[in-house]
Amino acid sequence: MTTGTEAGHRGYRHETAFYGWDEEYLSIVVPFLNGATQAGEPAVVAVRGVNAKLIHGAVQDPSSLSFIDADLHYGRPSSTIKAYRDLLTGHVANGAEQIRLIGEVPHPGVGRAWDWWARYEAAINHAYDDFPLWCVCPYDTRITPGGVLADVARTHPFVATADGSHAMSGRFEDPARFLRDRTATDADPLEAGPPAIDLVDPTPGAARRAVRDVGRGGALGADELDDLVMAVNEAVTNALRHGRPPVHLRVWPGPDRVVAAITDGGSGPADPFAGLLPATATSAGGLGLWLTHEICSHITLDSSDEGFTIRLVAGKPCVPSSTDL
Amino acid sequence: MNGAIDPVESLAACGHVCWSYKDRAGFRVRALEYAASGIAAGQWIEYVGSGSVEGLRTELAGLDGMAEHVEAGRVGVSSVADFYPVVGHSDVVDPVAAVAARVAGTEKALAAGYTGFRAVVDATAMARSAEQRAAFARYEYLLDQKTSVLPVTALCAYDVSALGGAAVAELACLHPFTRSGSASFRLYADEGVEFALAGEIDLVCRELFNATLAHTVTLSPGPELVIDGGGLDIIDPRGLLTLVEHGRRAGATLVIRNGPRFVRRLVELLDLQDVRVEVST
Repeated sequence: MTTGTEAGHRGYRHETAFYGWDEEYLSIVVPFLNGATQAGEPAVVAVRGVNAKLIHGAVQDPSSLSFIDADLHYGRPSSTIKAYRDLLTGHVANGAEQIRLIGEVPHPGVGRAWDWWARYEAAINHAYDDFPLWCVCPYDTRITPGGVLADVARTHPFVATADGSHAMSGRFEDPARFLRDRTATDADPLEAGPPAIDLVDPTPGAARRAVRDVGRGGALGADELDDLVMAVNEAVTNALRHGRPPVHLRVWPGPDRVVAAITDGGSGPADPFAGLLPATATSAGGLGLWLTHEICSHITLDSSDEGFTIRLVAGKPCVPSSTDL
Repeated sequence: MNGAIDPVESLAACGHVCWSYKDRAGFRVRALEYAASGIAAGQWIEYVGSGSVEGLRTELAGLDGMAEHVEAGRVGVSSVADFYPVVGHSDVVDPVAAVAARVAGTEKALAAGYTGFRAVVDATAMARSAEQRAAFARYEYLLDQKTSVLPVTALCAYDVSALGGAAVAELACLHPFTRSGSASFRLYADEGVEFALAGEIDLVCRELFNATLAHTVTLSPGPELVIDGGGLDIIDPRGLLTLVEHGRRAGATLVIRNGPRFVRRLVELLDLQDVRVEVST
């Protein structure tokens, strides 16, 4: 039996909420969480420490909630999806008919790169669809850049507000279309300079050796460089195998990161969710792209008339200041 | 000991070595080097190639210092047709019978007081068609397993001008020693393991790796399929999954000894269950 606004609803309900001050935040999340406590439903609170503290002091029974540190949980989208799916599977196995969740997705306002989280917000409409999950992703309008808020509005089918309403959003877009139409992402400032590697149609081996040579002794530790080499191998392999020639590898080493862009003449993966959803050993496609998402510190995917570009970042991704978005 | 060999390095100490050549003169230089070092070590030498035995004998006797050994009957000469048992009346090797012939030849050489059996072979004629190569690859694999337990060694030469690089790679990858550039990876016998892998296993050799693994199928595997991965420069996720699947099909858990960090990393990222990676101690 599902309860609250969700009563009678089956499956997944993905909501956002926009708030401008703490009381507004609490008037959205507290009744939502108390509802879970009263109904005996599991509730997960994956927020940053400052908001966890607010919630802790305001809800009916904090001990009935599972708190997760958002800074740890939202490391990279592919891992977050996998972790949530495992968590939800466990609750369902224990007989939960509905699970409530408050999730605080990172963005430049909290010092994190946004692009792959925009794709995450779109993809989870699909990725959690097989769970009885009622999820609210609140965004603080005091610190969230405008571009992020626009993406959030387009990726959440429902909006929760301080007056207790959980209404359908008029701005929600089909997730697959949102992902497909998402074209020009922000270039890394390093890309303004000449690349240290500029190879056309490299073999995976040539790409690996070039990245290793350029990365050695640079910003990345030995393990990080190994990971980047593996990620570039996957991206180049995908471009050679599934994309269209020419395949172009460019790499820019920076003081605290290395950026690699792999472009091919094709239109990118046919599956708009590829890379974010768990790849299994038996699934035919998407394994390489999913691995790059598990390995890199940020990834952007761009489609344009010229082709498809995957941008891999190892090290500390560049986060534009909020005013630039 | 194993490795990819630069043209300037000596083949003398190599057990089972593949040498691709572009012209016959280049082959003769290597053949002489390999035969002479075998004679110096007290091994019986068998010189094998296509064409008539007389022609081969003349060629060998023309190599520096070889005439006296040929005269003295210290060196055997065979045509590939005589050296390799074939399936029916075809030119496709019978791998099991051919390996049995090598074992018998080795025992005979030992009984006659030699320290071992060393074959110097131009096997080009056995590797012209895809069907020939598939059977010959299986033979190379089985022979390689013998070279790690018996005093049998072989220089397997292939004419790359006649066969092409891709065809030579199908056979070169089954030798612990190959001329560098002949094969991007190598699969060969090693002590205490089913086989060892070395080099780079990625998109470039994906199909070859699948085909090569198929040649290694053992008839009675144990609960574990143990291989050595210490020589790997890279194995990409597809290659690793192929290997795990290979073990699974044999009903065995894959164990990778001396697994480099990237292998452990992939196993962890892919959350693979039917594989265990053992780090070298």
